[in-house]
Amino acid sequence: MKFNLALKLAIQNMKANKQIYIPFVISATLTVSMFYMIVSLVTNGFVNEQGGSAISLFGLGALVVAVFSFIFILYANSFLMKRRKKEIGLFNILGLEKKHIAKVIAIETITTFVMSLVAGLIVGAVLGQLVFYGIDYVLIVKQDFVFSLNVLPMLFTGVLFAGIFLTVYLFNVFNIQFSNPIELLKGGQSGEKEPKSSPILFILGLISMGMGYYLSLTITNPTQAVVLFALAVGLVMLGTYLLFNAGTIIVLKALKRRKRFYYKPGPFISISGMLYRMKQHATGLANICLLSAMVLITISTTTALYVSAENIVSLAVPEENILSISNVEYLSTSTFEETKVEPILKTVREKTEKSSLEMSDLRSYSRMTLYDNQIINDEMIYRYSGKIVEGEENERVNIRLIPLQDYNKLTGESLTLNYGEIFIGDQTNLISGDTFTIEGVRYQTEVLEKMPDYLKSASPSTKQLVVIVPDMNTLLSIQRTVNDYNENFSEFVSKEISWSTNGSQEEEIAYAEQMSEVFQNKGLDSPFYQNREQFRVGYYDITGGFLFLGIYLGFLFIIGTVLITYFKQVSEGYEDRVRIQAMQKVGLDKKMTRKATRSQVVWMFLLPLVVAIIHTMIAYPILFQMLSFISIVSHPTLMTTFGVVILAFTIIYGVVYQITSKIYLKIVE
Amino acid sequence: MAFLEVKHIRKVYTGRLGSKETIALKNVNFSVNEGEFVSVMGESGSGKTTLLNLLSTLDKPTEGEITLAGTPLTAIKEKELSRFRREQLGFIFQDFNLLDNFSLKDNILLPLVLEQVPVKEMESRLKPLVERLGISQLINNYPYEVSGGQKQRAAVTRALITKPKLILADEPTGALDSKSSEVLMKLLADIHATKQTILMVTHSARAASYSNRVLFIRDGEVYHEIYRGDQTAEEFMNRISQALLFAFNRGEKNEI
Amino acid sequence: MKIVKVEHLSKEYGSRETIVKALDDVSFTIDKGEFVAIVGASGSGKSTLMHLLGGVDQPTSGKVWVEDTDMYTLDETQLAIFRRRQIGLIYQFYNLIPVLNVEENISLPLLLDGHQIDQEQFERIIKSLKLEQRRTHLPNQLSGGQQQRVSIGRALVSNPAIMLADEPTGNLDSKNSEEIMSLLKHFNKTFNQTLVMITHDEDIALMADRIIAIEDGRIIRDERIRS
Repeated sequence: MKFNLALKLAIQNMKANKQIYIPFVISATLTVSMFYMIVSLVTNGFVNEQGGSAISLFGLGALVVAVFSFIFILYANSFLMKRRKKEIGLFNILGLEKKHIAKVIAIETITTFVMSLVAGLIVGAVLGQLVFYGIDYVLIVKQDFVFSLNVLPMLFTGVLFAGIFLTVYLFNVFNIQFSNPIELLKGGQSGEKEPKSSPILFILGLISMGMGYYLSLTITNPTQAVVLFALAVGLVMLGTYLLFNAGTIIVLKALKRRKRFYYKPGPFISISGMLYRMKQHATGLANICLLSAMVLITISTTTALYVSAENIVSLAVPEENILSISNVEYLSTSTFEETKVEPILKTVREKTEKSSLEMSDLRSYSRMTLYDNQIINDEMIYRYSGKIVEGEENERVNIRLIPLQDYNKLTGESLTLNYGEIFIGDQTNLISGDTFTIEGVRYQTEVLEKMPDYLKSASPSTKQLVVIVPDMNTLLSIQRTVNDYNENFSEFVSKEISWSTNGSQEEEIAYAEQMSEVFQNKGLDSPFYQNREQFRVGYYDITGGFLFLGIYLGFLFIIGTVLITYFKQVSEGYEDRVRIQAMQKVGLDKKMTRKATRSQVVWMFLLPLVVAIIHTMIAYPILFQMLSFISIVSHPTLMTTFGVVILAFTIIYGVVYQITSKIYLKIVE
Repeated sequence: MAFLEVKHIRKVYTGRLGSKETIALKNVNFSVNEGEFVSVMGESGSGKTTLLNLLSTLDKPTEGEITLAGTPLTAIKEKELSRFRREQLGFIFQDFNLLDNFSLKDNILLPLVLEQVPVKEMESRLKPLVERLGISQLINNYPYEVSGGQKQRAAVTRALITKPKLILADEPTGALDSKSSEVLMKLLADIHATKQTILMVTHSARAASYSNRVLFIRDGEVYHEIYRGDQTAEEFMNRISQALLFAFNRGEKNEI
Repeated sequence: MKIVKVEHLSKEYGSRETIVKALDDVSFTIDKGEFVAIVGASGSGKSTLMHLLGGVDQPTSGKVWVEDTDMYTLDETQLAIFRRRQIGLIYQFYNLIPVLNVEENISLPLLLDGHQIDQEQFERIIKSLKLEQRRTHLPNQLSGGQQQRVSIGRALVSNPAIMLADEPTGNLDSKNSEEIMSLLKHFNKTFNQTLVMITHDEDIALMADRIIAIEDGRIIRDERIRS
């Protein structure tokens, strides 16, 4: 077949079908640009230097976008091909062989590919700078990333989408290969019979979803959370598909049996219409539901993480500069001060003087922190004592012991303790009575009225008990006793020093780097230094990266949902038109048509949305666990973010539905 | 005043390309009395489909007036048209026009549902009709499960269930084989015997022989008309065939 | 000479619950140059028979021979080529490719083959179809009758063994119907072109040499009305 003839046919075909080609090209363009932008991020040299761990996150994100693009374009293509089937059957009947038709389709595919690629790259280039501003903002790094046009990301994008379109082409040709002309001609209107209700599938769906829900709601161990999450997601997805497929049919049929409800114009038309189409419908609805749930979850969790960031930073590093020196040689207190602490402080002072910053609010105190103990019957059970009780109900507690003298110096108070007494900072009711036993010694407890915030636990999910002992000797005797339990492990007393430097972010980071050089050896021997600004930047690195990714992917999924909704409405519009016009011949008027379609629209709109929201809410516990693993998020924060995101999404989705429904009505009337 | 009056009807279509005008109906005049069974015969393009569309209120004449039981059709407001169609008219189409997603029962009940008739009333009307039309065993089947003849009988039931003033039939036997056609036409004759007014458009002389009056239409005009009187169906059919053959061979215009 | 041989042809549709027998063991032959009309109501099986004669569907069982070729032993490609060269198809609708003009539509089968167009024959066809003034027009610029004439042209251009016409005048008014029918008769008589026409209109059928009546997938009548 002459190329010119094929070209002419291809171009005219696309023109004639533009109502569905244009959205298809738009969809492809959007996915191309989304992929291009994120790949640009990954390959951008500048970002590579500064971005830190964000880069691997973005790489992961690019992968997700690639997979999504593949699935999405394939899906959009199926809508396109369905409308074209009749034309293709006609060509076949009129004498074009399958290979001629394949040629025509090849030209069409290449044209759409080139159009989407070029348009997508342009859109991506234009929006790319915007995206980079976004990164800037979430990573809170003051440098301005510049989006530059680079061959590498363009190449990646080109190759990926060439592959996708090639697959689409092969898929289409394969389909045509195996149908005869008459089937194709009739393919536009696939006569579906009333679907059979399948109680088995329904029950399977319930079980699957139930199991997924159960997993989420009963999770307690954060380490298992990630694995179980994947499993739960799989189960819920399967359950959703089965329930949408089988459940909707069962419900609709049940409604049909209620004659007084069914035999009214609205339900009569919409229920039978939906039932008739349910088989193809159900999967599409399930897709929208799952996509929506993905949007809700990604955006909620990443926003919550980000919003909590400040909180976390101030809990993790309560002072601007923290230095912890451990007494690993068991020196006496005074020797330790002289030979270890003072020299280091001197170095710190010297370094600080050389820098542009000034040291202020210097504080220090001694302490010993015992981790992962239990408190049972107001007695401390040391973690290596062999008396630890297994089981989820007995939570682990960190116990922080501070000598009274140091505490007073720290807070400026002048508290006193009698013999056999201790102070405790018990905010979490770990101790019920008025005594606390440590290694066989029972002390009378008195609760501290006010305890400085920086002594409180850094993480709301870790329990910590502050104990003020009368003097250093008490502390040391406790140390000796616990160190007997395990020969491979020793607890140390450490000196905690903190000070402020009040610098700008850049100054603080430079300062922190200098300080870190000093304390480079990271053995137990050497001091442990933390700078809050440095921590903040590193933390935002991760959370910011997550947030960006979350919003980026969330945005991508929203576009996907919108476009799928559009395609479905248009496709259904054409299918329903024939039916509605047949009914109009027997007396159906416009008002009734509107009423019937409205109830149908509400069903189709609400169902996936409501189920998506339920999925999201049920996922809350397991998500919370997973987030606690990464960072610290409080329930109020997480719940509020969830609420806000769900609300915003519902509004957007509602608006989209309104618009696409108007299009549907226009086609049907 | 006759039950159905068609006066000076003219219908002109302007072509899509703007230039050409098609005159579908030139000047059509006739009337139908209550309880008559009238056939309108003509080839494709004669204007009979257009005439049917005008009578069904699916379209409006360019000139002229159609009056049914005293109501001029052009006076009916747009919003009221659907209701009028539902309440006063019954339709039988050549391609049955049954909906695939409804059972035969629901197809038949459709116009009543649109009228928001209560369920009990609907079912009480349904039962005797489906028995009369011999499809009571089939009401829960779907259109794809039954034969053409059975589909058409369901369509006839649908047309009757609203107790319309006028039944309009468009080539009702067009898609049926001769046996089913016979069954259908006998049914229509029976229905006619209960004083139901029927107007049927057809090109089949055999079908037309069941009616008691035939109007012949060609090129947008009614040019001939014959009455059955006391003749048998067989005799009437032969007369009709002759009239048609005459017309086809472009014989002289014959007026009674 | 027998140009068409149909042997025990059957076609069934549907699944276990509802099997529809569209054609039930149909057999007949057609001589070269005959004008056969196949009549029946909708659902009688005549359209199915038409599709099977035209090679656009697959029979459930039986054979169709056109000019000594057992059509359904050909593979996809061979069948498409065979259809293009030996079978001229005229439908009631779906006839022309909307983006090609009159000349291109008529010469489509030849264009696909990459064959050279016999200019003389081409001109003859255009003239007898009275389409000289309309060569470069697109289908949407033509009337129904003119479109149908173009399809006749396309059906003839490759000198096919048989011409299949499915309700060729179904969409046309009486004047155009007459014209098309007389054109078809003309080609049938003058060029000895075998013509098989499907119709539900008994009057149109009367113009043929032979009428085959189909009902419920079977032949119920086969009579020669003209010699």
